[in-house]
Amino acid sequence: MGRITALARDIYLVSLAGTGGLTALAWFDLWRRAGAMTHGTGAGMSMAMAMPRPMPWNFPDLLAAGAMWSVMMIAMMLPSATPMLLFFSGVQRSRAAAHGLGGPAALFVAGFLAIWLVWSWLAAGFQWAMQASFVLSPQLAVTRLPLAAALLAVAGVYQFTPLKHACLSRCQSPLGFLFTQWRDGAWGAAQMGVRFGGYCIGCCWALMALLFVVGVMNLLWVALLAIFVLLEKAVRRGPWPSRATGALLIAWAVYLLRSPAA
Amino acid sequence: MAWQLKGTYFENCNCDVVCPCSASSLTLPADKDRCRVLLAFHVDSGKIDGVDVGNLSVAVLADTPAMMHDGNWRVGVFMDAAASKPQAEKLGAVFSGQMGGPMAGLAPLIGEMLGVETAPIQYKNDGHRHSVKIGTAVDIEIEDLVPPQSKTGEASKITGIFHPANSTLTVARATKSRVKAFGLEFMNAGKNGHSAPFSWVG
Repeated sequence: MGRITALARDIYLVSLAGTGGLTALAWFDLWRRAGAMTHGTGAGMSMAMAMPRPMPWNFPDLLAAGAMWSVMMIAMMLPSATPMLLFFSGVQRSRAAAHGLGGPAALFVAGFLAIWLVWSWLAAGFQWAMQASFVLSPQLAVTRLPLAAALLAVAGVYQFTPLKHACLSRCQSPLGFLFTQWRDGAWGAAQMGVRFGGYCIGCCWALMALLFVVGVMNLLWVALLAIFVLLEKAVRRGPWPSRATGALLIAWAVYLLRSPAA
Repeated sequence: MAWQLKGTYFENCNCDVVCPCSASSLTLPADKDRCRVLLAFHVDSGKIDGVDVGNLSVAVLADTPAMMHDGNWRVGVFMDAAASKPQAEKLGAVFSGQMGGPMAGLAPLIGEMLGVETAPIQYKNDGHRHSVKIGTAVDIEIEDLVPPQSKTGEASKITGIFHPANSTLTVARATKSRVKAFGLEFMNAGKNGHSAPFSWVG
């Protein structure tokens, strides 16, 4: 029993270290990429390729952009999923002690990240489309005010939708998620990870698209959005904080449209 | 998003009669090092987001420190096999506290989930006897204590407490109690029980 308990504690610590390490690594890589872009000192070929270049993109460009979005989404979304991941590894710890087996928490994380990677590549495709239409600045912010306003308005209005609230309420309650979505075994762990990631995307996709408004490589905004996503899930005060943010985003959109440059 | 549930509840733990935890609203420690308790709910009628969840049962098995208010509860959940997928999801949302209500106060105390098992749940109220059978995992019956001198036949009660089911619970004792699930195994026959109707809205 002593050995099993020690093993279980290790699983827990490994989960925490793995999540923290992966997030730190992602942020470090993001910081390097952003530095490479703003100073133009190519910290490696792949970073430089994430920069906007004359069209058409070639295959390495797409790979670089997809990799960049993937790293960014890991950096932004993994912290807000930590309570769920720790809770889940706690479940696995108990089950390992009880049955001598359990779907590894790593599979849950893999499922969670897999669905976010799908989103990342969609975002990279979106970036490609916008670069092809020459509406992105070197910092990867949209240069057309009406387009920026549209992205803000979509994100703002989405904050009010029942779909947003349904996804958010599931992300806010790790216990509720496990109560309602439980699947046994290793394959079950992966499936639950994908589902949890799905709710997470349902919660945050529109907010992530705001990166095109503030500049995809603007690390300050990347951090602010990540912190907001974290707070939105951690602070359980019903739908109103989200709606208030939505109203602010809509107001921002209106302000942009009414500004003289529009 | 509104929901409401009405039904009956009973519990059976390993404390002697009467359990200090429930009588003190979780401010006094349990009789043993660990509290081992089953909380059984039967919904007589109810709707959650428009989904009818009447005539279904949910049970929660907990293994907690003696001082229950300290949290770190280990919890396993039994979902009624008779519940359809949408019914099970809605019930899970309410019983995990995700949709607010009394269970939202309990949720922060839970430190580990032992899992969710779907099993046939037979919940019965027969006068002062309340029983639940969950597959082969749980077989419990408690009996409310009625003072022998009582003319009305009413059970003894503790009142004015904070408890998710009700602020008034009967004083009861288990006549039968066998649990083997989620890696936990215990028998609480002769030990503490409580029963009460519950009525929740959220």
